[in-house]
Amino acid sequence: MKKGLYVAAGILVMMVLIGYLAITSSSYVDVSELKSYRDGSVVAVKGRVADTKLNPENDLVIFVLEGEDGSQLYATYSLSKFISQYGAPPGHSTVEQNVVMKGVYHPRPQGRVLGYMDIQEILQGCHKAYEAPPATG
Amino acid sequence: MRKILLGLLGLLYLADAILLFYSTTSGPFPSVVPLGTPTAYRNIYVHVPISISTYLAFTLGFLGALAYLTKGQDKFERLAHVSIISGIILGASTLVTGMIWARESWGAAWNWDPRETGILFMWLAFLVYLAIRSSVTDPDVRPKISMAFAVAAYSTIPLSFVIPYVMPSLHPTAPQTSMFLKSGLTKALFSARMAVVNLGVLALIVLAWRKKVEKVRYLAIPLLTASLAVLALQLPANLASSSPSSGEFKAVVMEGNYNGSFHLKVLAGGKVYELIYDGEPPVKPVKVEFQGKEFLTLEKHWVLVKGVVRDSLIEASSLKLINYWGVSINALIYALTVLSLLVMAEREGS
Repeated sequence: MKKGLYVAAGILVMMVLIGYLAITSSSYVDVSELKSYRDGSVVAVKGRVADTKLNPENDLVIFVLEGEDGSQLYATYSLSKFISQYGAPPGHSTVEQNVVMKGVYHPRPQGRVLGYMDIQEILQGCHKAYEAPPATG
Repeated sequence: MRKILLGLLGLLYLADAILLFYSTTSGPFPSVVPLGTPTAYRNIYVHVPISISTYLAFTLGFLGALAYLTKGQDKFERLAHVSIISGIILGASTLVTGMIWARESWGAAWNWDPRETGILFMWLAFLVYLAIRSSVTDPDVRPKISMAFAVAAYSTIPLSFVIPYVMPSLHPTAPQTSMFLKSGLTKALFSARMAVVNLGVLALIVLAWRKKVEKVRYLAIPLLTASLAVLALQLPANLASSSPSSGEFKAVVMEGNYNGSFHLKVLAGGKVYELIYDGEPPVKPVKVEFQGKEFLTLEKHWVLVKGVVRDSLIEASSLKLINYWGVSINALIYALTVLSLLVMAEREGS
């Protein structure tokens, strides 16, 4: 039976390592980490929404995402698609300033701006919701 | 004794059915949310208890496997096996109910969020346990190898649990969630669901392990009835037309204000309308102070509107809240999960 325990301990260590690598590699990168990414990379970026610009003529919404070191990324999405998906234009009644955006990254360094990203998905966490008072209906 | 135990389990599921119905149709939800309709958060009464019971089942499996490897008694191998099968059923339910909730509240069903990935990895690891167990034909070798792997597979549990604390994750941590659960009814409802779901899983594992069950699948009838009632109550409104020409139609509230009556901007069928309504507020409280700002709690909700439409103005005579469809689907998934656990208990415990 002791042999079984040793085998279990060995596989356990292996699984911890594989699991750790799998989970950490699935985490989101900060905007500041994009410096090392190549043109055309598909990446899930997390950052603070520093500004939101609406461009209804071209059906665009541009999010200015800021990383931990202050570097910025311009992330673009279709405004009509955003409204039909999320029910309201961006920036209204928002309680969560940190978002995760998944898309194709194009580096165009200029000052603090690292480049732009064509957004495929906009993901938001639910942390702030739990701080809000409860409601019923 | 067996009849008393089964009677108690039946009562437990009856209480569970009442709690499931009440929490998914009338349970409190956060008044202000970052994304999606706030009623999606009623999933907290369904998804979270299932996920905790998954951890519970796998923990029992781990303890059973460890006891078998140290003491060598077959009864522990049996406990581990029954618990792990239960954990696999519950784990599948955790993944699916979580995806349905995430689709609305995070923006996409699957996000490769660290905890999501961790739960998937955990579930796959225990599926490998099943593969190992069924592929080894030698009855002397089979329990030793499968139990050794079961102990190792448990390493995935602390990984998936701890990860939102140390890495950026869309999942909240337990202290963050508990902030919402401080108020009276919310806390009572959530605690009751947690207790009943986990007690049910624990009782079924013990009964199946001690071979004390035969025909028990009928015990899921109250839960199936309750979840189908939730579905019948909530799904028609979700499926309603979003065209204002259809009489009663659904719309999403974009913004607005309340001064005895609602003056709202709503989106229906891709077009923005002004809406006036002076009836009973569909969400209470109507306004909240949060983060130094005042929020109208009706914002972001899907509503069922009845009224007169003139160009882009709607004079509403009725405004009802639409509960997110994923909550009723998840209630049904939970009832089917319990049914699967009962069928498993019948097979393993007869």
